[in-house]
Amino acid sequence: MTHAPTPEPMDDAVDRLVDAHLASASDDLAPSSGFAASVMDSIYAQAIEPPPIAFPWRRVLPGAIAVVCALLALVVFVIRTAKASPGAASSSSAVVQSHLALSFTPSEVTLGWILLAACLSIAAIAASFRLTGRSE
Amino acid sequence: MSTPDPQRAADDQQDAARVLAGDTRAFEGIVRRWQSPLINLAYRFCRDRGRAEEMAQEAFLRAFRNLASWRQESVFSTWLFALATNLYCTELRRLPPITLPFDEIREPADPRAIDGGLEQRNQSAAVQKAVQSLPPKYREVLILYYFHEMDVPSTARSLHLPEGTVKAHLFRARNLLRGKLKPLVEHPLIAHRQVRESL
Repeated sequence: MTHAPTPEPMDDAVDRLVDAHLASASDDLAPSSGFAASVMDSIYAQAIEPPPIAFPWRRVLPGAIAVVCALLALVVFVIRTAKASPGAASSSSAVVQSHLALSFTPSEVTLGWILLAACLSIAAIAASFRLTGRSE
Repeated sequence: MSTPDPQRAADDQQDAARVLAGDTRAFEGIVRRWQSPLINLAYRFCRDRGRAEEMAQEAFLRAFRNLASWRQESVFSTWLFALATNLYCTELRRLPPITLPFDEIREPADPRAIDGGLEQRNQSAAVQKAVQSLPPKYREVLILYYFHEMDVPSTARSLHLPEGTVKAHLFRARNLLRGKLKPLVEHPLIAHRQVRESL
């Protein structure tokens, strides 16, 4: 059976001191005269503000899912290729480059990258205009 | 503060319902009923009147914005104090209060006149300084406990903590305060000078 330690008399004195100063109502403050009016002004200003524009998750989500899936597919593709021919490709970019080099000439690869970058830029601009509601 | 007034609770419920129905003016009733408690609670955290009013104003704004989230499972004041406490704790952790320098604590005019304790003002300043120096989790529990007139359940509700945790934090806070304040109780003048010299 355990007993709670008996407080020393000095501890009691400290406790009384703390109780007296923290529990006392001597520091009760009355609000300044214009406080309620000031709060209500802020409330009215808040009430007439248009509600914040919600983030367009429904529009963004399909694109985000597609990007994540594409990235995952790319990672899987790179890992499989690296496993299949470990000596040939030492890094992921080298693996991609080597596969592209097998199918296309260097100028076609360069042109492909440029077209891909241009398409992505146009898609990003179109998406931003669509999200902000501008048609031009 | 610890036992909600049924009339106030009914008024709060009525005003909240009107505000939610679109009558913003009804919020003024809530502000007028709770402005003093919210300012005083903020003051206990920051010991600065101007800042206490700013914090209380922000608490009312937040209450207005989140009024729809009050589920009416608890009385309005419990929800309001929990919201305000959360805001004050966050605010104080972000910008800690400026503790009163001991130079501003006056020494007694005649030290021989002291008989077993410091002057009231010095004692109060020393206690406040000791409380402000506690780790936040103990300080917050201690402040709320005394604000709620030493009512553990109300303190627990305001902090969203189990009552057992509140009691444990109170016990630890008291132990820390005993360590800090014992020299001031044993040898008030010497301790007061030592603290002043150390700053």
